[in-house]
Amino acid sequence: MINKIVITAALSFSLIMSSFAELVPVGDDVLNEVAGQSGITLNAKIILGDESSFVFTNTSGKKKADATAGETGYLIVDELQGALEFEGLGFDLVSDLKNSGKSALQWTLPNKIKATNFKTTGIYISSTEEVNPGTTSTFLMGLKLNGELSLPANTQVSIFVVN
Amino acid sequence: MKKLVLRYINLPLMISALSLPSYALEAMNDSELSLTTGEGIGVIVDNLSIHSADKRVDPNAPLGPGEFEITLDLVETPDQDQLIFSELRIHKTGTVSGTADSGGNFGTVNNPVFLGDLRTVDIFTGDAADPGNSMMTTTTVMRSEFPGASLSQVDRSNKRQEDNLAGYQAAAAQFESDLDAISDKFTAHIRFDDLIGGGSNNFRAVIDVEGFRFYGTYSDIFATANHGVSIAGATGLYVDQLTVSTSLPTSTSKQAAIDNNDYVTTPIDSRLTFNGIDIYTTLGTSNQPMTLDNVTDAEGNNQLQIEISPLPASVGIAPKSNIYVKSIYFGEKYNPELRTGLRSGMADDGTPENYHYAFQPDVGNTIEIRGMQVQHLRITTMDI
Repeated sequence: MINKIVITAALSFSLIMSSFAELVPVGDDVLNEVAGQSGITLNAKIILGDESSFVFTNTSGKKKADATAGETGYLIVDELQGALEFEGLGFDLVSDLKNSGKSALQWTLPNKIKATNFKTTGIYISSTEEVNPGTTSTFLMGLKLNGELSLPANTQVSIFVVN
Repeated sequence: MKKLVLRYINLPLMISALSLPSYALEAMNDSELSLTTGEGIGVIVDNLSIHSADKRVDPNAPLGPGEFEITLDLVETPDQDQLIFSELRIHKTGTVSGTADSGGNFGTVNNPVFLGDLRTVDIFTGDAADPGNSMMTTTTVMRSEFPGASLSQVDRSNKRQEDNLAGYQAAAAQFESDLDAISDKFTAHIRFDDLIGGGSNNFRAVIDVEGFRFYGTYSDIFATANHGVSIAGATGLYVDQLTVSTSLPTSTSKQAAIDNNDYVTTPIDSRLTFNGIDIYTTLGTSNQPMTLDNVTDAEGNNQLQIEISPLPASVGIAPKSNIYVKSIYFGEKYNPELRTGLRSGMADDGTPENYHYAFQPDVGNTIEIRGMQVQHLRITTMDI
C-alpha cells in the first residue's frame, strides 16, 4: 500500500510540474519526420432513420422573421434513410505539402463506399417547412443509391490555407 | 449489492489538470478582419479514380459484386418512372479503370480548388429596363474556383483558323500546356437505363467522355434583395472525345476495342462521337445573377424557378458563351458512306485516309455556336 501511495504521489508531482513547462516550437525538420506517421485510419458506417431530412429555407434575402409567407419557400430533402459504409478512410496532417512549406489536412478517401438503400423518398419545393404532398409541397424527384463504389488508386484530398 | 468505489482518488492529478493554462478567444477588430480578405481554403485531389463494375445482365436480379446504381424516381410513387445511372467510372485518361495506377491529379498547391475567399463586388441593383439607371451596390461575395480558373477560352472559330492557322495552333497548344500543368486529363463512363410505368428496365445509352478538363470555372455566391442566394459564375470544359452509344458491348465489340486500342467497347455502328469539344458558358454575372426561387404556378402548385436576371439596359452587353465541336463520327471514323471527295494527289483505291469525310473538316469546326448572350433566362419546374 505504501509503495502505491509513493508511486502515485511521484507521478502526480511530475504531472503538476509538466503543467508549468514551457512550450518549445518544433522545427520543420522534426515535423517532416512526423508527417505521414500519425493520423487516423478508420472504417465507418452511417445508418439514417427515416426521420432525417434536410431543409433549405429561402427567405428572399430577408431575415426569417421579416419575410412574409409569400417570400418564404423551402427546398426539402425528405426522409433521408439507409446506410453508407466507408472502408479505409484516413486522416493525416502533413507539414510540407508537395514541398510547398504549407501544412495540410490530408484525407485519404475510402477504398470502398457501400450504399444500402441510401435514399430520400422525395425532394420537394414547399411553402411550408413540413412536407404536405399535393397541398403545400410539390414533389420534384426521389433519389436512391445502392451498391459499391471503389476508389482503387489511394485517392487523397489535401486541404490547406491559401493566402 | 456491490458498490462502485474509487479506491485511489488522485487529488494531485486532478489539481494538475485544473492548473493547465487557459486561453480566451478575443474578438478581431475591423483592421484585423480586413487582413483576412484574399485568404481561403485550397483543396487538391491526388490519384482520383472511381470505379464500379458493369451492370448485371438481368436488371431485375440483385446488384452484382462491385455494381453501383443511382436511381431517380420521377414520380412520387416509387419504382414507377425512373432514370437509372450505373457503371460510374472516373479515372486518369490512358489508364484502365479499377486499377491501382488509374488515379489522376486535380489541382496543384499553387492552383487548387479554391473555396471561401471573401471579396467585394459591385452588384447591379437598379431598374433593368431603364437605360439611364446604372445603380450599383457593393456587396460581399464568396468566391470558389476550380484549378485553371484564370484560363480563357481559345478562339477556335473557323475564321480564326482560316485567317491564321499557325497562330491558332500555337494558342491551342499553349492552352493544353497550361492545363497539363494543373490537372491530368480524366475519362468518365456512365450507363443510362430507364423504367416507365413500373414496366421492365430499358437500356438507353452508354456515354464515354475521354480526356476532359475544366478551365475558367468559378462561382461567386452572394445575396440579393427579394431573391436571397444568388450566383455569378462560369464553366469551361474541354473534352477530347465524347461518345454516345446506343448498344451494349458484345464479346465481338470488346475484342475489337482491345485490337484497336479503343477505350470505348460498344459496337462501332452504334456510336455517335464528338471530337474536340470546347464549351464555355457564363452562369450569371454580378449584373445578371442566377437565382433560385419558389414560385406558385397557375394551378397553385409550388415550383422551383431558376432564373438569370434580365440584362440591365444600362449594361447592354452580356458576357458571351461559345461552343465548338471539331468533328463528328457517325459510327466509324472512316465511314465510306460519308466520303465527300478524294484528297488532292491521293489514289482512289479505297484507302480510308485518302478521302475527305463529312463532318470532319481539316481546318475549322463542324459545329460552332458563338457569342451566345443571355438576355433573360427563366426555367420553372412543372411538377404536379
